Amino acid sequence: MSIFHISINGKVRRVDAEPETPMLWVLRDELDLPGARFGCGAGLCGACTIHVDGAPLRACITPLNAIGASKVTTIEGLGDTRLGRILQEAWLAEDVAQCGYCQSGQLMSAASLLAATPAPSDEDIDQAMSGNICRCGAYPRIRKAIHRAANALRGKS
Amino acid sequence: MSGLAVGGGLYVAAATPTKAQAQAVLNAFVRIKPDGSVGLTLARAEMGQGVSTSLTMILAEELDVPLSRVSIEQAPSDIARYGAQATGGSTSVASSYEALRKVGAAAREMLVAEAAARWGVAPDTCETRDGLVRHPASGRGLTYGDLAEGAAQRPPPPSPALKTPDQFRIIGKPTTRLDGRARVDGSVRYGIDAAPPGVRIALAAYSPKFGGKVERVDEREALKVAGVSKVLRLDDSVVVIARNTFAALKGREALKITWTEPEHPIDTKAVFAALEAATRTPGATAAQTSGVEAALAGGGLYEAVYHQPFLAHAPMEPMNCVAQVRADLCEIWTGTQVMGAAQKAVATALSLPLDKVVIHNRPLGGAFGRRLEPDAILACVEVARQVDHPVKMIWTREDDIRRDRFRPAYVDRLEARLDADGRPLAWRHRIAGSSIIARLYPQAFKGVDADAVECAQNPIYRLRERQVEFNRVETPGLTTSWWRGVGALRSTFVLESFIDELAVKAGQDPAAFRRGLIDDPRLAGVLDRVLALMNWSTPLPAGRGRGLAIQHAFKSYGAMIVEVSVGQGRIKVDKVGCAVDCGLAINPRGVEAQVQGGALFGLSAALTGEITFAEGAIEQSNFDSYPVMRMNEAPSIAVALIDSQAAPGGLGELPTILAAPALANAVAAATGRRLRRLPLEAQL
Ligand code: FES
Ligand code: FES
Repeated sequence: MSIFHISINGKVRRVDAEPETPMLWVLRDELDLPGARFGCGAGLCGACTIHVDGAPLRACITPLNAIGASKVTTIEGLGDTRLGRILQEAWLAEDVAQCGYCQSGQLMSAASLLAATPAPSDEDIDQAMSGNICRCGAYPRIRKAIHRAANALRGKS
Repeated sequence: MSGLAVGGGLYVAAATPTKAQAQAVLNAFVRIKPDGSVGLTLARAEMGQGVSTSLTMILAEELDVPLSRVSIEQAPSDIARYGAQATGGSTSVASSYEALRKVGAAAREMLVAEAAARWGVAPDTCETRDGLVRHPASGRGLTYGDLAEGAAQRPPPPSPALKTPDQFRIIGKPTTRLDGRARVDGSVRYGIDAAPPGVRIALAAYSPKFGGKVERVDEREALKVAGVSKVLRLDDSVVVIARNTFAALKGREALKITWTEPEHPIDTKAVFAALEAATRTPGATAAQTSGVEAALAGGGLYEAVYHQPFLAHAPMEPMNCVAQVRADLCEIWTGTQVMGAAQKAVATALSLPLDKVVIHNRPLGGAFGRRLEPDAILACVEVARQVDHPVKMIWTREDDIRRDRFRPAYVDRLEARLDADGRPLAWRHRIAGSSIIARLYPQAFKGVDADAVECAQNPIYRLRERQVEFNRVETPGLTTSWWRGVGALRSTFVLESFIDELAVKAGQDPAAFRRGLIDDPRLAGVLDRVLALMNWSTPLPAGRGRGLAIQHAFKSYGAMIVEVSVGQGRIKVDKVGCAVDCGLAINPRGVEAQVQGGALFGLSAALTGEITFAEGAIEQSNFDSYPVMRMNEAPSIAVALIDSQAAPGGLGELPTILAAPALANAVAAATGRRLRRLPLEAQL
């Protein structure tokens, strides 16, 4: 076991864990941040997506000792930014979620997409979002919500 | 306390709250608090279908309170009070609609009676709106909160007056999900998130071959992993218990286990050979018309045989359960579709009285029928009883797929003879497959699985003479189970494929052919609607095609058209249109989401879904080998909802059952090739 200090959602948190522990289990088991979900454990579904210095990473295959001084954001911290809040409101307005289990990851991937590409095309959305599985089939509404959020970001309603 | 059944398993308790009780319990399901807010106890599992929103809307309508004043409280496991608490078969809204309206209307009348008595006026001179009882003539008003305690002392009216549809202010209005917020900020807590103090993580290792048992275990290396506290040897598994998930994963990897060879190594080819053979011999009769034998004997039969694979459920939240077992109490945190049955099964397993098993049901991260089985709960309880702390048993995705209780594999054989105008004169349908009903309700099973023959027994089409048979074929060692539609799903794939083949044989347009064989105006309604929605009669370029499927199931009607492009061994679904008549749609927005999700779930399975066994080993394990539909493959889905005042029907499964046949018919239209075996991409 080793002690790490990592920045999560704007706070420095102390973690005592095996260095190679995947961030997913650090968040869920040690830090009481269960919003990142376990879906496949193998980088295949995106349910565990977090931001590390803004980049969307799969927490289930990102070890604790790879974080270093990077800034980690989880779904619990998404609403701290304007972009995050706009996305959440778009998600609510389009009634995206069904069971909701995949939605933490969907929102985190969408946030990275819009941060890099404020006016994404459908192809951009396909590219950025195809690593996130939704078994409830919310895809059509995820797409609409991303477009809605993109419009809101640019000040259009 | 006395109780009075209002119907549908609901109990209105004529409760007499003590003064100490700040809240007036009007009945087991509805609670009006002194501040006027309303608690609705939900005895249904919320698994993404939006049932909490629909049921809240129904109650708020009759009670005359704003939606925002109603909050959902998940019912504790309590069979006596809430009934079996099962959520499946697309029944939640349909079966709750009348009952919940009556509860709301009864509560409203009790509140009005209380207000009228206080004012000394006739109840029918009072009116209600937005959580207030008013007496317009005198301008007086009281809130429901003011009246609740007094109203609870009044006898519930035996037949409260319900609103007429023209009075609806909430039902039928597109409404945003009420429980959406927690699903966008990460705060919703599923079963897998439960963490009672002192909880440890348990992971089980299973034989790579289905049915293998533990012969020898060497757990020394596993116990050396930091954080691993215990290794338990069970009959079919070895369980590692650890302080956290990562330690449990590493501990499980470090186990050295020798497994026995399974008694019956399952092999997919052998399974299908047995099923196909069974369709060559008569089965138990599900339906038979008097002249069918003579009609079939005439020869000239057109025959088609269809294969459908084992399917996993793969809900996004893998199976899991948290349990703590003490000498006199077992507490469980999980998401289940069958709280009542699970409570019973656990009580039996632990020899505890029913009321000493408490289940905290959490929102479900998807279920699709998987969480109708209590196996994960029982597996966790089996471990938890052997330790003195709470245990969270997690199934990794690989476990979730390999330990699934699969949708059965089936083979169907259909034969028909058409008259000169293409009308079916004689029809024989033989179904071969596992019987879930026979496993769960052996007393009820008399040779025909009533669920498996759903839609096939009495097809929607006018068939002059027909014979429908069921041949039960079990795969030794395998437990099969429900899925998103089981009998109706299987039936609709074969019936709607076969009818399409017959249309081609008769040289008729598949839509016109169907139209000529149906009588039900609601079915004709959805058919006509979807044809218009998808411009059925406009031609498509080469390599593209449209396919149609229609069905009446779960008390609803649906018609779907799928448009595809086929090339390079891939099927691309370009767009989908679906018309549904589910009676009165409580929440049209929820209906649209359900239809889209249900269609995509069905398309995903029809394209690539398949569990296969080779020498006893399951060949799939995660989303790489069991691919599911992703964003880049998902078509747009237009939904047309028929305006109807008929009683609400089910909707969670209807679009799913239409997807595979509409897709197969589209591929046939695009390529001229009829694919009779699912999944389709494997057949290209
Ligand atoms: S849980 Fe990390 S990608 Fe699936
Ligand atoms: S909303 Fe259920 S998995 Fe996406």
